[in-house]
Amino acid sequence: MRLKHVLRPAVIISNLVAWLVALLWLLPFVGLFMTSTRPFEEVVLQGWWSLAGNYTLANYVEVLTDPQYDLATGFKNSFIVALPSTLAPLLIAALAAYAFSRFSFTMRNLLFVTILVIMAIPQQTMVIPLFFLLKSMGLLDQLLGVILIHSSWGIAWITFFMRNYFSMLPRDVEEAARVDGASYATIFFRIILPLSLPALAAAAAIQFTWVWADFFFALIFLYSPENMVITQKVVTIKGQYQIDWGLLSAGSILAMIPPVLVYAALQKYYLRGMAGWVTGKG
Amino acid sequence: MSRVGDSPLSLKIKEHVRAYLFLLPALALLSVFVIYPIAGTISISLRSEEGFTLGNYIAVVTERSPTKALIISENLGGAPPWGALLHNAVWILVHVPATTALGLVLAYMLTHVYGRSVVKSLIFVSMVIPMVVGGLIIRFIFDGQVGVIPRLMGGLGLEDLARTWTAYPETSLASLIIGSIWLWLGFSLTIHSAAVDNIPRSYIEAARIDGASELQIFRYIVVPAVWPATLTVAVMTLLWDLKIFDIVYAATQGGPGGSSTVLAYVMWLYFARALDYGKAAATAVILTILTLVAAAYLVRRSLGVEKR
Amino acid sequence: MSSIVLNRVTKRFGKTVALDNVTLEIGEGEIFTLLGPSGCGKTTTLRIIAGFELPDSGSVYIGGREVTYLKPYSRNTAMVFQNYALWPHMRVFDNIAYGLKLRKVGKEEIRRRVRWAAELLEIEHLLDRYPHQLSGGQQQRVAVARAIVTEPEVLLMDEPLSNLDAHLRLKMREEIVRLQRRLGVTMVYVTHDQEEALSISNRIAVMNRGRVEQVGSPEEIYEKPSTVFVASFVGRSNLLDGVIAKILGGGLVEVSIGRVKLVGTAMTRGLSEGDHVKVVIRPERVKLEGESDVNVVEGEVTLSMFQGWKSQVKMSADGVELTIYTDAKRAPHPGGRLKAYIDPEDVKVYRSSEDNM
Repeated sequence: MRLKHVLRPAVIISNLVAWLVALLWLLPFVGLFMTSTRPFEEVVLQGWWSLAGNYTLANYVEVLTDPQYDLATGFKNSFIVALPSTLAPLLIAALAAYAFSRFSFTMRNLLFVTILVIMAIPQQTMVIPLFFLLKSMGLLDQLLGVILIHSSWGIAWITFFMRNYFSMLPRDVEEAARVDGASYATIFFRIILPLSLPALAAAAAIQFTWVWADFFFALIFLYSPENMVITQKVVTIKGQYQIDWGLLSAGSILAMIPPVLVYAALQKYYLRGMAGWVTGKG
Repeated sequence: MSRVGDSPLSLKIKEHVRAYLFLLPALALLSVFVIYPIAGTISISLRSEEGFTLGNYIAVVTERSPTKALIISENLGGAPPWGALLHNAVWILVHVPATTALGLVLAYMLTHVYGRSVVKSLIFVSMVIPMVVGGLIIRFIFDGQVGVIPRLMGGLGLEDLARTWTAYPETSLASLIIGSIWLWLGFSLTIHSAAVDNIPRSYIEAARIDGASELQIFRYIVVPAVWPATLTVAVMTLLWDLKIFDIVYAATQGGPGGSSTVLAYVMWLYFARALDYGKAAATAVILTILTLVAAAYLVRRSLGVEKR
Repeated sequence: MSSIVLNRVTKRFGKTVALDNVTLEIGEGEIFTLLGPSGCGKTTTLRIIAGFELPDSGSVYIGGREVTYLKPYSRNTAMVFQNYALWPHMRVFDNIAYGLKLRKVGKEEIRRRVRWAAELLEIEHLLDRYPHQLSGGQQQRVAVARAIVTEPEVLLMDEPLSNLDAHLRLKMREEIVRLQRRLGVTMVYVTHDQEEALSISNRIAVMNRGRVEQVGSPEEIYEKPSTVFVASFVGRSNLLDGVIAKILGGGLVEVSIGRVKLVGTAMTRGLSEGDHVKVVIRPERVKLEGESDVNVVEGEVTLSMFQGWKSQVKMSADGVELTIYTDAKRAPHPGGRLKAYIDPEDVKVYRSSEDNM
């Protein structure tokens, strides 16, 4: 009798549909993985869904080491770009966000609206003058140039995000410190930042994933093979006419690993950050 | 700390100085690398060798060649004569309702599901990967030789769809749009799920004890309750669809023959291939204006939240 | 209007046992209150009657019909939730009418019955408003109106007054009782407020940690608490540790509390000399004058707090502290000596167990 209640139609249908969708959504990844671990000719003949055959890591090795594809360099460059582009804007934006949240100054609303507007603007709007700017600074086709751009670009949304979070922190701890004579800088570094670790973790996870995944900025500002990031390198594996899916899928999976790992490790923060950012709460 | 001798004015000045010190690094970087370029783009779009002109905009909007057309395109083979902007519009008209509705329905269904956090995680993974990889995956699943969907279509007897979708003008855009539903559902599901979880349990129980069926509860209690989240998802999805670039570059390069171009891709063509900076800038500005209109709603909501 | 029977209902949440073999019989048309601290299982009991939780074992009957696994809708019950659960996007009228609408009642009939319920709750003038435009007290009335409009057999109230301020709470208590008398519906009421329970109930079930400690009328619960928990939870009590010095027969025992000896009434059976016991004395039962020489406690006044119509006095006698309520005019001052007289009937002796240590 009790089982009947638990197994009522709504529950059965929901479970079936939800799990079906989840498995369906995984299917492309499964296919990609299967294709990457077999010789391509095999996949063409049998389809990746057949489980028999030779499994091999040859595709991965080739795509990483063969100078034509050189994903290892791409991997390295992506890290060199993504790590500073995550840490720098985090600190800079947190400082700015604290100002927006705790201080009152004449231009506050204007500046904040400016930030909101910047958040909405597409990357395409910035690149033409930036191209010439970087060129004149000698930073074109340099990883440092891209790091600067990503950092600046990240400041806008991270400021918005952290400011919302700061607004929700009760002020008593800071006020007590003020009464004790602490400077605002001390309060910021010793009190606010430690209290904000969850939000900072969320912002870091999202920013890292975003910079790692970026393609457009890399496409515009990096063009020597030794400077390209992994997203660019992966796309070049795709030949003009015939596609070797074994190589391409291996490359794709390599490109996916770091962001997926970051997501898996910081999942709690990532999701909370996403939901909070969109609904306007920290 | 303030001392007895401080006047209100000097305190105010102190506070301003302090605020701007905190803001300095951010403002510096933003001015140089964001604000200046945006202004620069607008300026470039309005200039030609002769000086101020709207010519770039006119040229860009009235262009008809297949790869660069924005509105009407000629000669697209089997595809409808749409330019990039219309492609974006179709994309939005299909993708936004589909993803929003699917996410909402799934979010409510998940309240009955065992292992729901696993389901959510699995569906969300596609949001975390680089979008170029997303585009490559779309190319993969629609590939005539190794892709699931053409195989499936062949199995169903639909021979026309049993080939590489991205290689034919009639199906290239469709494959991208369908693929984008796969990519973006995680976002809709996550936001809606948070909203559904926020509905007080008693709202739903009160309806249950009054005799409402699951469908009625969904329609009359859940949907109105999560409406703000639904709007947010719809607008964010719309913004994403307007700005889309990586997927198109990776999967179809806007082809074949311009049948799957999008606004951002056309901008890139003007910049990197045609080296026509005026037209590239004009395209970028058009893209920005459309984006800002859509984002205005979100901005107003954020400011509303701030005032509270 | 129906009776309700819970028969040996057990409910677990993970490792916690929320209800442990609970058996209750609620009579037709009575106001039956489930009273206890948070976590005692009273809300779980209510939700099992409603059908929002299913028992792990045991059965539930409403009006003689077994409903243990029936959906909430099929039980002909209605519930008033603690946070009212008014749907924010519907007007008051539609909130109240929702149940009728779902039952496919005709529009005219809906209007008539909603008006009837609104009149009973004195909210006819609010029918066109939205919940967020109403005060807490008004929202509460709407919640009640919504519950009664479907004319249920059983009305379940989950701490409906706990979100109201004190003054409003007292007023609503009377209204709820009046309403119930008028409709004659069987009412199961959950509260942690013992004063509330005493004032509105026909019968009370005092619950603690998933078990029913005692069921009875308010007078029975108050005058003859069957366990230390009930004695201390309902009303104020002195709770003293003692040892049985002598069995006096006729239900009376002599207890040593420190150096004080008192004659009291045994509430637990089978007490013998040397047993550790808990002694419960209600502060208002301690008299400041008397003629008996049994149970006369002499000591020093350590505290005297004026509380309006009464004073709370604390006295210390041979190491034993006693709280006394007395008429404010006659209250002694701190530092003075005092003689307290307690009737053996008002000294209730219970065996000490791990539950009441």
